[in-house]
Amino acid sequence: MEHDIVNVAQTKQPTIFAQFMNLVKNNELSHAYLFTGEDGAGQFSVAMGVAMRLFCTNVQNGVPCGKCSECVRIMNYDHPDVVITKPDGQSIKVDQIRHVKSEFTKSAMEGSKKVFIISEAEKMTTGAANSLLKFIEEPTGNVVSFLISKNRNLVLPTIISRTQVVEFPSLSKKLMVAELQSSGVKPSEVNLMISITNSLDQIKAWSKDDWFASTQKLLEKWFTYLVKGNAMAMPFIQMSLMPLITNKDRQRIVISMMLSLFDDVLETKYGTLSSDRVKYPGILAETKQAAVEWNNDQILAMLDELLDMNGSMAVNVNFQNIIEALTLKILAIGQS
Amino acid sequence: MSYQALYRVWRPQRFDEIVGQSIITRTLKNALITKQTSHAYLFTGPRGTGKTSAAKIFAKAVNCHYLKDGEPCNQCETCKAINEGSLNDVIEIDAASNNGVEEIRDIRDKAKYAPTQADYKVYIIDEVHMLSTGAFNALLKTLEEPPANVIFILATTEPHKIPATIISRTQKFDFKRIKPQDILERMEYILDQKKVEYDDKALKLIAKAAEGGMRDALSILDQAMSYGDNKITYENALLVTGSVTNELLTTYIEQVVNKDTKSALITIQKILDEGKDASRFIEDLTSYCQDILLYQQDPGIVEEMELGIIDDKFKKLSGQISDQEIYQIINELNDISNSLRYTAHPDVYLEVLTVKITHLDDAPKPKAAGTAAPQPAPQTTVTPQVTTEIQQLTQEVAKLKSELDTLKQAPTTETTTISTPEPAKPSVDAHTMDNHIELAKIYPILGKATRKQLNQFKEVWPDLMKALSVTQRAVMHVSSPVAASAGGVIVAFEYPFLYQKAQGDTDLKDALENNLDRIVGKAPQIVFVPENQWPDIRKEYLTNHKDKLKKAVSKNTENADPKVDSADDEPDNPTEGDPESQPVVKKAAEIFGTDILDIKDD
Ligand SMILES: [Zn+2]
Ligand SMILES: [Zn+2]
Repeated sequence: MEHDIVNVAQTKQPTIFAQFMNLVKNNELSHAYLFTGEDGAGQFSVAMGVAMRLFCTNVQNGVPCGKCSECVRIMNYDHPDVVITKPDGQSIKVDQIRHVKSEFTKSAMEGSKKVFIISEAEKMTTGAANSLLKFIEEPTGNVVSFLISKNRNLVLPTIISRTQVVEFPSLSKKLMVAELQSSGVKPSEVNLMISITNSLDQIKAWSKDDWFASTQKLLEKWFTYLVKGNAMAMPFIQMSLMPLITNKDRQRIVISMMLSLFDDVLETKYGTLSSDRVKYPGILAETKQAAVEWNNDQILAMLDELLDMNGSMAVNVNFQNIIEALTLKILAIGQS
Repeated sequence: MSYQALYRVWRPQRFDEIVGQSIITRTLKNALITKQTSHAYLFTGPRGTGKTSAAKIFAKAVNCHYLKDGEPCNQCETCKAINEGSLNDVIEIDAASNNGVEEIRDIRDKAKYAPTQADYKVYIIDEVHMLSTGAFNALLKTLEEPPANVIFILATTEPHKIPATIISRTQKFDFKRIKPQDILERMEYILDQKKVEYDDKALKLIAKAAEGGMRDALSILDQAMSYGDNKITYENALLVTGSVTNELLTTYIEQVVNKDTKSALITIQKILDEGKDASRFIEDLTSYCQDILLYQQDPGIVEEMELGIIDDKFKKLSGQISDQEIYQIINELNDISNSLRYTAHPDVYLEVLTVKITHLDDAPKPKAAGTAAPQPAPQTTVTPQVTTEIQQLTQEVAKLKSELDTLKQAPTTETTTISTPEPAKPSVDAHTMDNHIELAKIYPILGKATRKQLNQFKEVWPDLMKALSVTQRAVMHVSSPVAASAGGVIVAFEYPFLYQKAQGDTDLKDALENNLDRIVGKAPQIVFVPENQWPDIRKEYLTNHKDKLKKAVSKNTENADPKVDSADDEPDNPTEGDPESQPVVKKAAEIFGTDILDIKDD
C-alpha cells in the first residue's frame, strides 16, 4: 500500500491533489494546513504526496515519481526532513511537539525544506496545541505543516484560524462503487459495505473472507422472521448468528448491518430507494412487505432502537442479550 | 513555500489599519501622544481580533522618533527593525512554549537592564494564560516593581485564566469580535489592492463564516483564492467554508413544511452524495431555522447578521412557518446533533430526522416552546400493552428454545431459559435530560439578592446587549436578568435551546462579564437558567432557605412581626396568604420583585 501513495491520493481526491501539485509548482504553498474529513478520504496520502512532490528528484507530469530515493525514504517514514507525529497512546503530548519544533529550528539555518505531518491532530493536549500556535504561524525557515483531523470541531479554534482548512469530501458513492467492483467485490455486497464504512481498505479486507457475505445472508433470514412476526427470530440469534460474532469489532459491524437493513425498509416506504442503492438485494420482497405492513411510526421506532444500540454497547452487556432484547422489541413494535 | 498567507502579509502596521477596535486604538494613540503610557497592558479578546498586531504597533510607536498622530512611521530604522523582528529590545514571548518559571525569571533578570537600542524595552507575552502558577508569581513580582523604560503587553484569548493580582496591575483592553460588515470591507480592500476579482455573495459568506476573527476570514479567503485562478467565486467560498447553500436549505425546509417526506429525503441524499458533512448540514440548518425565528421577531437583526444574503424565499418562508413548528424542528435538530458526533451512520440519522420533522403534527405535543425539557418522542415510548406482548413473546421464545435444545439433545446442563430482557423502559438519552442547573452558583446569589441590584442590571441590559456581537446578541435576544446580588446575576432564557447554546459558549460569558465590567464597573458572576425551570428553582430555594430568610427578616425588622412565628405553622407554602403581610414573602419580593411573584403563584 505504501507504494501507491500518489495513486491513492489521485484516485480519492483528484481535485484537491491536483490543486496541491499546482501550489507546489507555483511556489504558493502556505505554511500550515488542516485537513479535515472522514477517515479514508485520503488526507494522509495527499499530505505525503505533497511531501514527496517537494523532495522528488524526478517529478513526472507534475507529480512525484514514487521511485527515487527521496520518494522512497518518505514513503518508508525514513526521511529526516519529513516528520510524522501520531498520538503516543491516547494523546499527542507537548513534548512530542516541542521535540519536532526544536529539531526543525536547529536545522532551519541550513535552509532546507521541512514537512511536518500531524495525524489525529484533535488528540493534541491543550499544551501541545498551544505550543504549536506560534510555530505554525511563523515557522522558522522553510516549513509546511499538515494537521489531519477527522473532526474540525475538536481542534482548537486558535489553531484553525492559523491554518488553511481543507475539507476532504467523503468519497463519492459512485467512485467507491466503481473502484470496489473493479477490484472484485460482489455487486450484491457493495452497497451494504459502503453504507457501513468509507474505508476502501476495510472493504477489501471484508471481501477477502466470506464472513461478511455469510453474515449478510443470516441477517436476511433474521429479517424474514421479523417481517412475519415469527418468534423463531429469537433462537436463530443464538443458534446461527452468535457463532459468527466473535469479537467486539464484529459486534459493531453487525449492528451497522442491521441498521442498513431497516434503512432499506424506510427508503422503500417513501419510494426513495433506487435499485442501484439497495443494500439487501436478496430480500426485496420482504423489505417491500415490511414497508407496506409497518406504518411510519413503527419503522421509526425500530430505527430508534437500532440507533440506540451504540449506547447499550458501551455499557458492557452481553452482546447476545442486547440483540435478543432488540429482536423482541422489534417483534413487539411490529405487532403493536 | 514562499507564499505568504494573506493574514501575515496584510497584518496591520498602523493603528488605523486595525479593523473594528477604534475605541482601543484611539485610547492607545492618545496615551502615546500625551506620553502617558502605562507600564503594563492586558489585551484580551477572541482570536484574530488584533491583539498581537496592536501590541506590535504599540511597540513601534513607543520607540519611533517620527511618531505622527500616535502612529509609528514604519520607515525609520527602529520601526523597520521591529517589523523584521530584529530589534533586541522588543521581545515576543510565546507563553505556550515558554510557560516555565525559569523563563519568566529570566525575563525578570533581563528586564532590569536598560534597553540597548531603543527607548523602551517591550515584552509582548502572547497566550499569557498558559503560564504556570509559578511563572505568574514571578511575573507579578516584576509588575509590582516595574523597571524603568520597560513595558509589558500581555495578550490572551482567555482572560478568566489570568490571576486577579496580575489583572489589577495592568491596563486592560477588551478586543471585540469584528463585525461581519467590517471584515467584508477589509477583504474588499485587500482584494482590490491585489486586483483579484470576487463575487459579492462569496465575500459575505466568508465574512459570516469567520465569526468575528480577521485572521479566520483571511485564511478562508486565501483558501478560496487558491481554488480559483485569481478569482473568488461563490462556489469556491461554499466549498471552502463547507457550507450548504441557502438555496438547498430553503428547498429542504420548504419540503419539510409541506410535509413532502419523499422530496425531503431525496434532498438529503443529494446533500450527502455531494460529500457534505452531516454535522455541518445540521449546523447550517439549525442556524437557518434560528434566523427564521429571529426574523419573525426582528427582521432588522437578521438582515444585519446575514449581510443581506437572505433572499425572497427566506422571507416568504418566514411568513409561512409558525414559530411552534420551528421550535419543534430545532428541538429535533438539537437532539441529533450530539448523536451525530459519534455515529458511523449520519445518513440514517438524517433520514430519520427528515421523516420525523415531516410528521410533526401527526403526534401533537404539548406546547413545546419553552414549556418543558424535550420529551422522549412518543413513538419510542413502549406502552404497557407492548410490554405485555414482549413478555408473552419472551415466554414463547423460551418455549421454542427449550424445544430446540431438546431436539439438539445437548448434553450440557446449561440452563435453557434465556435471560429475560429488562422490561423495556422508554429510553431517555442523557442529553435530553435537563442540563444540570448550577444550583451551587445560584443559591449564594439568591442569598444576597436584592431588588435594587436586579433593577440595576435590568437598566443596563439593553446597553450590554448592544455591546455584544450580533450572533451573541441573537442568543441573548430573549434572555433577561431575574435575580441579582452585588456579586452575581441570574439570567433566564425563554427558550431551552438558546439556554443550551449560551451555556456552552464561554466566549459569550466572557463578553458579558467584560462588558458589564465596563458598563457598571464590576464583573459579577453570571449564571444562566432556562426560564421554564426558574419557578421551581426559586420555590426550592425559598423552601430550603426559609429559616435563613426569616432570620434576615427578623434582623431587619425592629419590632418583630408576630406573624413570623405563625408562619412556622405553614412551612410548605411561602406564598400563602396575603403576600404583603408575610415577612418571608416580603423578603422574597425584595429579591425577585412582586411582579414576578404575582405571575408565578404556583
Ligand atoms: Zn521521486
Ligand atoms: Zn518609525
